[in-house]
Amino acid sequence: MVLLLAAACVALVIGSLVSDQFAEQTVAGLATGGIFGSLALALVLIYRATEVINFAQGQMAMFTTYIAWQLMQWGIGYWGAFVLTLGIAFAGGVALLAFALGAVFVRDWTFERMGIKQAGGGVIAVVIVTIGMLILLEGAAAWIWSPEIKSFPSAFPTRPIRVGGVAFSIQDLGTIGVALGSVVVLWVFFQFTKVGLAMRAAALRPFAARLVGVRVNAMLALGWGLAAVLGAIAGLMIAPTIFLQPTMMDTILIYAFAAAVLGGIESPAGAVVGGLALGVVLNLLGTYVHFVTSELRLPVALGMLLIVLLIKPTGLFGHRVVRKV
Amino acid sequence: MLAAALVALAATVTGATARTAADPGITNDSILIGGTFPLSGSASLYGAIPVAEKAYFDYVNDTRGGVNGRKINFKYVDDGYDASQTVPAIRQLVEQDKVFAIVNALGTAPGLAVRDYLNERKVPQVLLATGDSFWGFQYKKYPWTIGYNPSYPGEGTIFAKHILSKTPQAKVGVLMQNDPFGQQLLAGLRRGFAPNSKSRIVDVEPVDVTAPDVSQQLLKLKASGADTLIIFTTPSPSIKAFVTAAKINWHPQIYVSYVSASPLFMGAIAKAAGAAAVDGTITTSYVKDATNPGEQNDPGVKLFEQIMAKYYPKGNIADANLIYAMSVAWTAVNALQRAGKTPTRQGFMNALTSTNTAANPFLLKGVRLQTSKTDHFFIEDLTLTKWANGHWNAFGSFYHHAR
Amino acid sequence: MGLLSMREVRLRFGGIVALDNVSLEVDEGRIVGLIGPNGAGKTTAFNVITRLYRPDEGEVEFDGKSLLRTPPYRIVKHGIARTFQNVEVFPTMTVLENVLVGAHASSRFEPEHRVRTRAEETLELVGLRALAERPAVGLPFGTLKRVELARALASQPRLLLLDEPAGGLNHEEVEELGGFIRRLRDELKLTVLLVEHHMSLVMKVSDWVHVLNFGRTIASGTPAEVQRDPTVIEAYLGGEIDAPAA
Ligand SMILES: Nc1ncnc2c1ncn2[C@@H]1O[C@H](COP(=O)(O)OP(=O)(O)O)[C@@H](O)[C@H]1O
Ligand SMILES: [Mg+2]
Repeated sequence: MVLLLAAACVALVIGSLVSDQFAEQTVAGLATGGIFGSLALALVLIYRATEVINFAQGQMAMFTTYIAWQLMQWGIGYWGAFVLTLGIAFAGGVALLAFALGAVFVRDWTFERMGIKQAGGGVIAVVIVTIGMLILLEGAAAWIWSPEIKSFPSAFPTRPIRVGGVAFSIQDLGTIGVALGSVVVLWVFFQFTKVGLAMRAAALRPFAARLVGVRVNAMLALGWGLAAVLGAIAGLMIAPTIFLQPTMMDTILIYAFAAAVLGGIESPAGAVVGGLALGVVLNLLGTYVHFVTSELRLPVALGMLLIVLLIKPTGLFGHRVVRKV
Repeated sequence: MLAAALVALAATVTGATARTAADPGITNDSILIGGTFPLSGSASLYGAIPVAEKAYFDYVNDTRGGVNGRKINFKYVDDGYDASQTVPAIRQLVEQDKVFAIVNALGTAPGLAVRDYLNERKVPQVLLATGDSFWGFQYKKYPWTIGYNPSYPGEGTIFAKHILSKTPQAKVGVLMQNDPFGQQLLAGLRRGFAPNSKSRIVDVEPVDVTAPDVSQQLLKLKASGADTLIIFTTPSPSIKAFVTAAKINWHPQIYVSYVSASPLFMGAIAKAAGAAAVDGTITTSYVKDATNPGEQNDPGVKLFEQIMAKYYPKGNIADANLIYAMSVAWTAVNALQRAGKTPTRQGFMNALTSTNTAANPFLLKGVRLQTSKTDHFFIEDLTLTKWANGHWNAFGSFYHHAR
Repeated sequence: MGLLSMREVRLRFGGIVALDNVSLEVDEGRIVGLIGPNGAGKTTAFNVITRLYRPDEGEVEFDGKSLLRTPPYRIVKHGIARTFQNVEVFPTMTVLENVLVGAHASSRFEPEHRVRTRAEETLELVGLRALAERPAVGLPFGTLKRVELARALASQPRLLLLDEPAGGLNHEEVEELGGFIRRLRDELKLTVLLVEHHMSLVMKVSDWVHVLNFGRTIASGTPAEVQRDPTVIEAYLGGEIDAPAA
């Protein structure tokens, strides 16, 4: 697996040295892929913590980006708004989980009152809450800020830099940097900190984790919060190019799903690599393989996914984890 | 039993005929018209259009007591730009609400989805907010249907004509939305370049309306050596195209379809990617630009701003869709006035298909609304306009007969 | 008064009475065996003590204080650690990381490098030092049992609850385990409550044995007393309960 990836990277570098267009398309693909990857990573975090696919992930990212815009409208500078937004996103992610769990609790309680014991299906219920959230957030954004397209400032200058004959967009390079940076920070957090370790424990074996002192619910909430932060970063990075719109993340989320599954839905590294690979492959296919027109992009992405899953059902980076009942 | 049923049936039939004096939606003091619009979903930025139309109708009701003593009520409903939602919404409007006519309903697919239904029932489907040319061409089969917006192929042809006259050596690259909308614009462009369209158009890159980004297409267009970029996409991909071109340091002469040329978008792009990203861009136009300082004293613009201030204060004046919407509402009122003392659906269609006026205050001077029984194209006069100093500046003379 | 005491605990699942008026004392510094046929309620008793289940009636006290209002994640702070019958290690973590999670349970104000050293020492103690960096997933069942034991020990408990620790071990390893459990008591001054099916092991290491059947206490006494008890012999149908080896 690692060999295959290394080979792919070498091929990309050689291609980039040979052809300017190849280099430009690769960098542009990495930038979009970085966005897919961040969002995919957010999905994976939540999936690992609670086995829930968070369908509202894209809308949460959209909504928090609007919040950043609003803060800037009120006169707060870019980085101030950036940091505040990440904080708000974190709180929002925690609140969403609390809300979803609360909804499940109320439902079970009501059922118990009605004499129906053990409603079960908590995961499904939470998934449905996220779908409801998706609709709610999109509507709320349109209602609060109007559906009009709005421009959004970039953290990076719009001018390109030239390397040889190739013009790279500073914004694209910045996006790649931020996406990879946040992934590294998260990796370090999960790998080397006490809380990170506890979060992993809570996600893997909640009962055992509880009995070694891990506050599982707090860790799950933390996971949702971090996922929301990642989503917000993705939104802030992509908004300067695609502008603010309540529907801005709709398709991106589909690609992020594909990236997450491609990488193995339980693997954070897989999600990021899956996102980057998807971004680059789609750009290069569209450039050099002529039957891959834009309407075929999504089918091709899903086709790739299917092939990977046929060869390796757990995704590129997935482990087969046997679970007892 | 059977006899009783027959009697009952006869009673209802005679009862019905006795009351056909007025068509549905018409009472002694009101006219009810309806329309479907994307108030939610991907195209919801068009959701302000019916609000502005209602504002104009309210203005007419308040200042002139409506049309021939009847106040105009406008019921607009959300179809999310999704034809499967349009069908029940239109049926509801026709069968339950009993609207007199469907006015300015938005979108090609939604319009097509209910065209047969409305024509079968002889319900006017008029002043549609879409620029496909078949609305105009298929008047024989669908006499109860008529569009409003200038035809998309017509705009494509005008771009070609302008390029041929000003920069005949231009190498043209096209970013085309991968649907009938984009295809019609491209067909018009090819028609304008004929018979040399192959050699003039060096690259056509299709793009999906939902594409997360257009960098791949823009990089290919740039690599093709094109020095002129024509953007035949709806607002969302268009904006991405402008921003991406700036990002990859490509500065061709840009032409963009009027559909995506609202000053609102242009201003937003300039803010995000710098004025250089949009300056010099060319589009076609037929409505006045309320953001243009040169038109501030224009009576039409003043009226528009006055109505906005009173009836739709939350609306954004820079949104070109709003003044467009008022021009539609003006045209509808104009036809209603000519549809008879007690308007009928047939009378309304007759009035709409015999329009001949240059008095619509919201359209550019020189735009004539002209239709006939065999001419179902409302707006065929377009002028070119160039973005500079933060607004559109019309230049050159009008192109006529844009179909 | 024992370190741990369960008094008249009842717990039912629908029609099944999993624990029926069970009273159980575990004195400090002792190894107490908890035995009984499958489904007798042994694991359920562990789950009640560790607050995963709430008893319908009865009281559970540790060190003189009721546990019934303590949330599960605070159990370890009181000084109770356990292992699971079906091993609940964190599969994608390394062996050392598994133990670190346990070590963090008692690491307030302790610098991280010290916690790490402590985790490594615990691994040394259970003989897994060499496997520290291996991911848990894929290791043999017997090894995972030891990982879990190390994780429990790393939280520095006073009372250790072991649920079938000999599962998946061969004869020699079972012998070794017996010696190890005694060392825990003698050297670390741990109190141990041991659920086990290997009767020879239980009888050899336990100071006291408590026997459950169908959720009810049927005997309680020294290993020698229990082995002679006719109700116990009947419950096991005479088969399993052999005389202790030597
Ligand atoms: N969560 C539960 N829901 C329903 N029944 C349970 C549950 N946990 C245990 N039981 C039942 O309680 C009884 C005792 O089980 P357990 O304590 O696991 O037995 P042991 O560990 O002694 O083999 C069994 O009949 C078992 O089926
Ligand atoms: Mg058991």
